[in-house]
Amino acid sequence: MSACIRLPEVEAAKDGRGALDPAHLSTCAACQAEAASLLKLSLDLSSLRTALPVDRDALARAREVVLSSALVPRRAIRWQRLAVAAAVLVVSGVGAMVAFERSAPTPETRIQATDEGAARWTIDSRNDSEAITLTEGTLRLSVTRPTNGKQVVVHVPDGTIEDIGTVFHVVVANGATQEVRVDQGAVRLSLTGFGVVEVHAGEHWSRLLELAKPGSIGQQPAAEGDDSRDGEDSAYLLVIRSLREGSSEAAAEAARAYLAKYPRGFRAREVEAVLRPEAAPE
Amino acid sequence: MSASRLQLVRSEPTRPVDDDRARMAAIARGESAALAELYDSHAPALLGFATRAVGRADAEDIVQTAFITAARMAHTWDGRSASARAWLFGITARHVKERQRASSRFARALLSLATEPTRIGKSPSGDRLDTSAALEHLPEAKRLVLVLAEVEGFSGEEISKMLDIPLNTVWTRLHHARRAMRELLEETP
Repeated sequence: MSACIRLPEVEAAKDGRGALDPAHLSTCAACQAEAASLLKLSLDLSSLRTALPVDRDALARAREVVLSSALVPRRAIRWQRLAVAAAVLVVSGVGAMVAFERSAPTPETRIQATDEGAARWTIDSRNDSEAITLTEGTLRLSVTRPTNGKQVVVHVPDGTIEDIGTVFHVVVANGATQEVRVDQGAVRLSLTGFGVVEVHAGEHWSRLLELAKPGSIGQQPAAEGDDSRDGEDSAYLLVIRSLREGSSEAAAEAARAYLAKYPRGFRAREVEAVLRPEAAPE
Repeated sequence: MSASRLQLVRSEPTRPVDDDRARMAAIARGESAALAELYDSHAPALLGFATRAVGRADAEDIVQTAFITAARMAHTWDGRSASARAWLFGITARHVKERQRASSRFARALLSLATEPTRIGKSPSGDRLDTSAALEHLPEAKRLVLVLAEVEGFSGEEISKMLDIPLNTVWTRLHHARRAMRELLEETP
């Protein structure tokens, strides 16, 4: 059987990215053989989907871990994640955690970056630093930097994160840094509205937790606090915190302040509800 | 084979019509019951996929990590660009790639110690295991594309998004993977 120059069209037709003339196929033995071969392979492979017995025990074990760790508060997650990571390291070796390794141009500084979830990032070697730009998602970074090596700076939408010889995770979502967890070493955060903060091994920085801290709201720069979503969140959290502390007067004052600044705010209806008891005639 | 049969070759696995959109929204709000439902719907398929891609030993850990990642990233899921199933397979595929990259060094070290070339293992039980054994001999990148296309039934466009590679790369890898599989299976009587 001689080869047919239209053989590639058979595979293209199978994949739905092209059409093969049925008249040609009905008369070309080579194309018929190619189609038969592709069909047999396709059937063999698709049969693998049901060939493996489902490992119910493995599914149950993983289910328990997923449900117990995936949605608990971040602070609790950290230790469970570390336990999972430790198990992975034991099973697969130190290299098993490495998703993507890029050696820096200068041999002294080494960066291992792991995409832990939909990370969009780039790396750029500059004269004085290795600049990583993370615009979205979760990235784990392991930096090995000798004394004279280039510093690694992570540029996030709302600031920078400088490593101080470390392993850390950065979560960026909705155009802002949501979370930084440090496994080893330390990092220095310079994020809009939060000043400069150092986070050390075992510690965890969370935007939401920072906003909820007593006193943190008043420390927000006025210009940013007034105009940004952070400012609105902060004003809302002040209302909630006052309610939780049982201070209805402070809550009402905070609510009025929120509505004055954000009359069409995201939480305006909830905040108005705080004021309704006061509005009722005595 | 008749001409009309060729039109039937491309088969899609049954895609459950479910309320993944509502589930994903609930997971983003932190509802564990929704995560349990999502897990029960998709974990068996993902475990099978991970087992074929990296072997039984690591598959459980990969599925577990994939769902934890999915729960954390649920708020980023956009149902318009990918189904929840495709999105979960994409996350799992990324973890598979991570594991393969990491283990490839170890594998290369082991292969360097081998005195004879490796051979395809034959099974007395028939073609199915021969196909499975041949699959294991494909380069990792090609195997991943072939499994996603032929075993799991994803389209080239879906695979392109999952693996973050150009569509033409998907077709090229798929073509070479098929050719390699056919050669491997022909060599294995």
